[in-house]
Amino acid sequence: MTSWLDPFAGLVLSRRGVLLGAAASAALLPWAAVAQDTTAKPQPDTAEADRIAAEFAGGTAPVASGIGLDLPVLGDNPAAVPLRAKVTEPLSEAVWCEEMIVIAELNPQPLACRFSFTPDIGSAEIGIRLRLIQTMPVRVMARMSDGRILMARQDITVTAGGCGM
Amino acid sequence: MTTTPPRIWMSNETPQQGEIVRVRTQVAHVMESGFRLDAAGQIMPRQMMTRFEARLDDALLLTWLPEIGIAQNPYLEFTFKAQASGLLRLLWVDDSGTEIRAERQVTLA
Amino acid sequence: MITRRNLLISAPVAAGLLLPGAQLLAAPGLVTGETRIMPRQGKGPRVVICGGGWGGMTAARHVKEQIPDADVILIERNPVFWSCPMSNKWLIDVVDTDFLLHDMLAPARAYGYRLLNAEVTGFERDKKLVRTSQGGIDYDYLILSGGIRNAYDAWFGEDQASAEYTRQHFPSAYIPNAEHVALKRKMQEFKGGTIVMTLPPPPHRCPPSPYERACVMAWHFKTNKIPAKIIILDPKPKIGPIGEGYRAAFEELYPDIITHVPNAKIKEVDPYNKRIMTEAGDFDFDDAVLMPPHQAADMVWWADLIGKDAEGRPTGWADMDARMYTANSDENVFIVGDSMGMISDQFGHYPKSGHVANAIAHIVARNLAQRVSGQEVVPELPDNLCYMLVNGDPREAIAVQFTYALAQDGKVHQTQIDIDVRTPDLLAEDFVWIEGKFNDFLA
Repeated sequence: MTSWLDPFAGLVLSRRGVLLGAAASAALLPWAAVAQDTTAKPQPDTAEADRIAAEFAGGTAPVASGIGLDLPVLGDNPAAVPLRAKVTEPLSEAVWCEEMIVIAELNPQPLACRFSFTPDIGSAEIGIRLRLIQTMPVRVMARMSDGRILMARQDITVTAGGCGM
Repeated sequence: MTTTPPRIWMSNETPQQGEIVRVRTQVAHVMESGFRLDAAGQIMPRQMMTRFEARLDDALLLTWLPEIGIAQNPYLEFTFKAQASGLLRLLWVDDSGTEIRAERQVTLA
Repeated sequence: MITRRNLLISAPVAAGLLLPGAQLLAAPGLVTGETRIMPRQGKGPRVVICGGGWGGMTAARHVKEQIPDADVILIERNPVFWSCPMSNKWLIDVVDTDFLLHDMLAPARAYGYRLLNAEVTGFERDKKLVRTSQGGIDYDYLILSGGIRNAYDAWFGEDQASAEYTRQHFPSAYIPNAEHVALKRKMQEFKGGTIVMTLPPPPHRCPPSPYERACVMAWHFKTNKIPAKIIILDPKPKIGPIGEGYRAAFEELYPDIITHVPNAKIKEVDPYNKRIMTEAGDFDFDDAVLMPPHQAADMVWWADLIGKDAEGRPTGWADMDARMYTANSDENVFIVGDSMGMISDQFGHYPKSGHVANAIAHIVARNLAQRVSGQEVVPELPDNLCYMLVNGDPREAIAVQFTYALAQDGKVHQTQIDIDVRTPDLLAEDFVWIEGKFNDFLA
């Protein structure tokens, strides 16, 4: 029924089989063996996020402006939290956005994704869906071709729910 | 490999010169993080979509490198400035080397 | 239809008249004075299913298949099956009435269960008896698949007149099927003005579909150049599920028609003066689709199987085992579909959708067969999938997928993935999906 969602239909079927198996075994097997769970652990603090940010900035002090960040305050579905980000200043062949990163600061691996743009795109606006393991700050950074680093940061509260990670 | 086409929506396939065109894409992919356990308590092997690129004909517009913090069936929206007619070529690659491709003709009005 | 209905009802009654002795033997403890109808057939267990919607019809077929010697009876008050899934698309003629409306006798004949066209009026669970408008029917196992009821009392308390006025003038059209017809006519005859649509607070039937209804109605008004506004009064803080897909549709396709008002919890409804007071402000309307809160179907209340919260107030939904789908106070009663109670404090209820009702009915049929044959009962989890039409030209849809897994804490966990890029191929897949489902429970 859901195979249309997945290019790896065989894998999904076996995974679903496993999931059903997990449910099926609940009454029969010892507690630990019925796990359908994750070993992913949230970061204890923002140290790793700060390290990623510093590496991206390369010694330049970020300015907390120039990025429009659209992220819900409340993430009611942690498996797919919509995020949109945009470099708000006009872009040209002289000044464009070279690179943008999204840091989900307390995720097991905080770097959520990286974008590289060419001057040909004439724009720097993206929308993605994050999976977030818990409530946390989310940071977006952009490196401009003139060397400036732009930054925006926002807290998001994540309600209970599986994030699928 | 896939029987599911990428979902693609474009704000305008015949834009004016200089118009900002919005593109929304979504492909089916498990985005298995490599952290999850199966029923037997074994790690489910990592299987991630790791790279996306968009080109107009051969000119690269952007690349996107998703990590495990990106949702299953990854969604990507981006905009580009219409400066020439051409074929918008989209490519997704996962870490087993599977590729998904899609194309849309862009014709300046 | 009437002829067929009469024939259907008269058959078991006639059989009872011919066999008065059997009737008496079958009903030794009956004190209501009602006749017992539908004498038992075969040596297997009697499984009575109340409610012939997506869940009940699926259960009837698959219980009979899983337990071939079972005597399976499906009780449904409507003479025909009307599918709520796809009914929004029917509002703008993406599908015709024949697509939604189906004969129920054909599947009963094809799959070997009996259909009783009657209203369930009560239960005597101590006697394992269902009371209906046609008479009493005893059972060994009972499956309640009655869907939802409209809880107008949340708005009007004991004021039955206002509730009835609201139902007649501003039907919710979430319970098949006369109200669907009324809604379609209302939309087609609308000349202009403001239509208010109140969304029920969660949990409610088919969470994404009120937004879909707003989209198809807006598309109708836009296409026919009718100066209409649709105000969606949403008790939730944001659109969801598929919030981004709907937000894009509202803003890009119907910016002059649809206004979504979040946090609009209803304070008071005045249907006579066409006015609604909410926590997000007061709204006057020319016409309305007033969806009151949903609760488990009446039959679950009559069976005295509604849950209670910490303060002893009714939860409005069945008090049931989240893994076995049986009533907590009666293991011979299964609850299938929208009436089901809370599953997990992680996400609350399973989506009250046709897909879930169908999936749970399959599981219950397997679990019941395991029980009857003395095997280990293997708990299973459903999934869910919903496609929602947001544009009439081109016909573009969005979708949402839910998966469930048992976590280490023993609770069911839900993962929700929105497919929010609107495309024509999602509508094509919707038709593949519903054809598969219809083939599963309609002949």
